[in-house]
Amino acid sequence: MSELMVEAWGLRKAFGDREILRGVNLRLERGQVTGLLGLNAAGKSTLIRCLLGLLRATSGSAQVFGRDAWELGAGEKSRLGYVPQEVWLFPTLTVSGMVNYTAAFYEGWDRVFVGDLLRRWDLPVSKSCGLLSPGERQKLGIALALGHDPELLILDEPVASLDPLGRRVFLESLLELAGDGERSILFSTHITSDVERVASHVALMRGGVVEFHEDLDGVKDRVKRLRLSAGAEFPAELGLSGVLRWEPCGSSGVLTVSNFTESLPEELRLKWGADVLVEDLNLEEIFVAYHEGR
Amino acid sequence: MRQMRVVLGGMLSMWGTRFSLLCVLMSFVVVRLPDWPLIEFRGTLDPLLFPEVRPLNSDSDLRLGFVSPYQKWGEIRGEATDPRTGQGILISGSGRAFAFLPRHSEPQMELEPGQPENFHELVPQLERLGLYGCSLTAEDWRDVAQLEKLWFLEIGDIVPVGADESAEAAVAADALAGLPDLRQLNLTGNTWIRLGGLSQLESLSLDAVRLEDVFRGDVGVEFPRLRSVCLRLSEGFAFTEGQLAVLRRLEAGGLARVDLWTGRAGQRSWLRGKVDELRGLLPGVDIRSGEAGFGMFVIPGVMLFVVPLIHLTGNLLMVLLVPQNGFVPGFATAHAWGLIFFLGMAAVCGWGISIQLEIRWWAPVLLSVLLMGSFLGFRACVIRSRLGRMVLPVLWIGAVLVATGLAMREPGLFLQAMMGDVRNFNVSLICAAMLSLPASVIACRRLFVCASEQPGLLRAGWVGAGFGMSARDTVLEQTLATDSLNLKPVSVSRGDLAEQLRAGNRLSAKGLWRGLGLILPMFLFPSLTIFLNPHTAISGARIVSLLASFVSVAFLVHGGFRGLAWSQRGQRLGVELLFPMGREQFWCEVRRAVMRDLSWVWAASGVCLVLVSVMEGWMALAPARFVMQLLFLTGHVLMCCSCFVVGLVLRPVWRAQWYTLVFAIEAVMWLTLVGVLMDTVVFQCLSGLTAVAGVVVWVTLPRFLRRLEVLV
Repeated sequence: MSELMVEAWGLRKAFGDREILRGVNLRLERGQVTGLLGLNAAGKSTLIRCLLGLLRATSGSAQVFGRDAWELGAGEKSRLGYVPQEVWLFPTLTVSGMVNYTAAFYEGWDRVFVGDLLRRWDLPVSKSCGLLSPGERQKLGIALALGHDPELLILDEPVASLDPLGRRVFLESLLELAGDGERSILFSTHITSDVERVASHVALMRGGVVEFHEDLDGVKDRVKRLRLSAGAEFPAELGLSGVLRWEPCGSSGVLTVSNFTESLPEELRLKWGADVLVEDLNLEEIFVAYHEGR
Repeated sequence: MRQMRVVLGGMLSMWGTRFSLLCVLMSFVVVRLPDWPLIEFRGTLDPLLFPEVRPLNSDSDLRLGFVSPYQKWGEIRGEATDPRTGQGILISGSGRAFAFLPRHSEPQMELEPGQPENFHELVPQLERLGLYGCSLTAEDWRDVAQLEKLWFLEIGDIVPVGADESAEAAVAADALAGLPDLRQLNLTGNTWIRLGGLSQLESLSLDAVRLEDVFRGDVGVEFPRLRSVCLRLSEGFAFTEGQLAVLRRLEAGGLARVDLWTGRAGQRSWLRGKVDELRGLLPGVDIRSGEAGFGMFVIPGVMLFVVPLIHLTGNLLMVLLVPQNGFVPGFATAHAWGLIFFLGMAAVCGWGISIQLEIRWWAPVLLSVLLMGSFLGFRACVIRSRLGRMVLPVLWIGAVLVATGLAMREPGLFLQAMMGDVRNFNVSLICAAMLSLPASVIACRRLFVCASEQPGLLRAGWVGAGFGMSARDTVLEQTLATDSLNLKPVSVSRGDLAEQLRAGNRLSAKGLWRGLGLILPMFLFPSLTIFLNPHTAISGARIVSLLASFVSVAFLVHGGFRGLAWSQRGQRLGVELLFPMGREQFWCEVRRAVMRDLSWVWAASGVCLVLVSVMEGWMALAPARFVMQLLFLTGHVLMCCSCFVVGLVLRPVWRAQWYTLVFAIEAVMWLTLVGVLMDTVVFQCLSGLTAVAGVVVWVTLPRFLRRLEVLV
C-alpha cells in the first residue's frame, strides 16, 4: 500500500454560521499529482488551508504525513511546500534577497535548481520584488516553494497569473518533480487543460464536499456522452442512474452519464430502439457536465 | 454583546497599530508633561534686562500636581557644593547669581568657567536670587540680609518654620529691609511676608488681595522709590475701596505703572475688563495687561495629543468612504464605531485643553474641523501625484512652522486668536471650517471613485498614524524606483530563527529611515521656534535637552514604523507559518524578533530620557518618579508591541479577546489621565499597573496567539 501523504476525513469548516467545508474526504498518496477543481467559493482554498494547518477544522480530521495538520512540527513542515493564491513578497527585497531569506529557513536548499528555475522563467535576480508583475511574483512564489525539494507540494491556483509560456514552463517543472514518483502534488485550478496535462488524479469540489477523487483516466472512462437517435420521441426522464445531463429533442437526445459501462449502449439500444454514438469527454466538458447537469 | 465583540475586535485589528503608535506618542508627552509649564507669564520683569529669569509660575505647576518637598534653607545650602545635586539647586555664574529651583526643571543659568563653584564663595557676590519651595529659619533670613549686592529677589512658596507666623514675618521684613540695593521684588504667591523700609525698591510683584496687608504704613516713607507694581488677580477678583485707596496712596507717592495678570490664559477677556476698570479709577497711572505667552512645550504637546487624533479620525473618515463599505459585512460598522471613538477622544482632548487654557470651547472644535478638513482635502487632491505626495508633508511642516513661529514671536496675538478674541480671525476660521470639511468629503468621494478602479491608489491611501506616512510612501516608492536598496544582498545566517525572520524587514527599515528623515523636521522645526521667543534664553543645556527630547520622540516614531512593517507582514502569514518550526515556536520567534527590532529604539529612548532628566534635574528631584516614568513608558511600549503582533493575526478575523479588553482599558486609562491631568499619585499607580500589565501581555502573547488561531 502506498504511503499516505494527506488524508482528510469528514472535514468540516465553518466561519460563523457559514459552513464552507461539509465533510470532505480526501486521500493523497505518494507520487500522486492531483488537480483540485471547483467553482469559485467551492471551498478549495479553505480545504488547502485546513490541510496545511493554517485553519483549524471545525470537525473531522486532517492529517499530513500521518500527523494532525494543526500540530505539524518542524520535521513535517520541512517536507512541505506551499504556494498561496496571492504571493506577498517583501517589496524592498530583490528576487535574490527573497530567495536568500527563504533559503535560510531550510536545510538542503537547492540553489542550483532555484537558480535554474529563475533563469527559465526570466526572473531578474536583482529586480526588487516590489516591481515584479503579478505573474513574476507568482513564479517567484513557486520557485520559493520548490527550493527545499518538498515531498508534498500544495499550490493554490498557482498559474492564475501566469502567461501561457510561464504556464508551460511551470507545468514542465511540475512534471519533472512528479517524474520520480516520490513526490505528491495537490494543486487547485480552474484550468482543466493543465490538470489533464500533468495530473494523475483529479478531485472535484462542489458544495463543500469532494464529489470524486480518482485517477484521470478513470474519470474519463466513467464519464461519457451518448448521442441517441430513435424512431419515437424520448421521454423527459430515462430512468437511469448516474445521469449527469439528459437533453431530449424529439426523437434524438444527448445523454451524459457519470457511470458509463461497456454495456450501457447496448441497454439503451434494446430499451429504446435507438442508435447510440459514444463520445469521450475532455476534463472541461466533464467539469461543466457535473456543474450544469445536476 | 456579540456585536460589541465584533466591533471591538474590528477596531483592534484595523486600528490597533495606529492607536498603539498614538499611545506611544502620548506616553512620551504625558511623561514629560508634569514638568512642562502650560503657560508662562511675564509680569513687570523686563525681558531685556532679565532674559534668564523666569518669574514664579505657581499656578500651572501646582495644577499639574507636582509639589516638591519643603526643605530648610540650611539643608539646601549644605548640599549645594555640587551644583547638579542637592534638591535641584542650580548655580549660575553668568549673572553672578544663583537660584534655588526645586520645582523648575530647566537650568536658568550656567556656571561659567573660572567662577567659584563653592556656594559659600558665591554668596557675597550674589546679585539675584530666587527662593522657591523651601523653609527659612530666622538664621537663614539673617543670611539673606547679608547679600549686600542683591538687587533682585523672588520669593515663592516660602513657608514659616515656626508656630509664630507674625514673629517670622517681622524677621523676614527686617531681613528684606536690610538689603541695601533691593530694587526688584516678586512676592507673588506669598501670604505672610510683610514689607517695610525698602527704600530702593522700584518694582514689586504681589497678589492683589494682599495690597492692604503689605502697604500698611506710610508708603511714601516705606517705599519712596516704588514706580511699578505687578498685581496678580485671582478668579472673580474685584477691587475693594481699601485696595483702591492703597493704589491711590502709591500713585501719590510716585507710582507710574500697574500691570495686572491672572496666571490663567482663559481669563484674558475678563482681565481686559479689569484693566479698563482700573484705568477709569486711576487715570494718572499707566495700567497694563500682563503679557502672556505659551509655554515652550505647549504647542508641541497639544500637537502630539490632538493632531494624531485628528489624523486617525480623518483616516477613518476616508476608510468609511471606501466602496467596500457597500458589500463587506461589518466593515462600515467597525469603522463607524472607530470614528465615534476617535472623535470622542479628540473631543475629550479638545475639551480638556480648552478647560486647561480656558479658551472658548468652539475654538478647538473649529480648529479641529479645519485641520481635519484641510488634511482630507489636501490628501485627496495630491494622492494621485508623486509630486503632490512629496509636497504634502512640506506644506504641513510649513503650516506648523508658521503657527508655532507666530505663537512664539507674537504670543499675545496668537493667544488672543486662539481664544477667539480676534474678530477677523473668528470669521475666517468659521468660514474656512464650514468650507473645508464638506469640500474635503466631496474631494474624497471623487478620489475613491477613481480608487475603486485602481487598487494601487487604495493601497496608497492606506496610511498609518502620523502625517509622515505620506512621506514614507513617497520615499519607499523612490527607493524602489532607484533600486538603491537592491544592491545590498541579504545576509542571513542559519540557526537564529528570530534573526532570520527579522531579515525580511531589515531592508525595509532603510526606507523607513529616509521617511524618518522627512518626519524629523516636523517635530524639530516647531521645537526650534521657541528660540524665536524673545524671552527665551538660549543655552547649551537647553539645546541639548531639546535635541534629546526630540531624538527620543523620533526613535519612538521609528519604533512605530517598525511595528507597521510587522503588521504588514500579516499577508505572508500563511507562508511563514509553514517555515520549519512548531506553531508556538513560530510565535515565540516573532515576539523575539519584534523585541530585537525595538530593543535599540528603547535603549536610545531610554538614554535620551535619562539625559534629559539629568539635564533638567529630575534625577536629583525624584528618582522614584523617574523610575515610574520609565516603567510607564516600558509598559506602554510592551503593550503597543503586543498590539502590533496581535493586529498581524487579527486583521482577517475581527474577534474580540481579552486583549481587546486591554485595549479598551488603555483607552479609558488615557481618557482618565487626560481628565485628571496627571495627579502624581494617580500617575504612579497607573505607571506600576501599566508596567505589570505590559509584562503580562508580553509574556502571554505566544499562547494567546495560538488560542486565537483556533478561533479563526
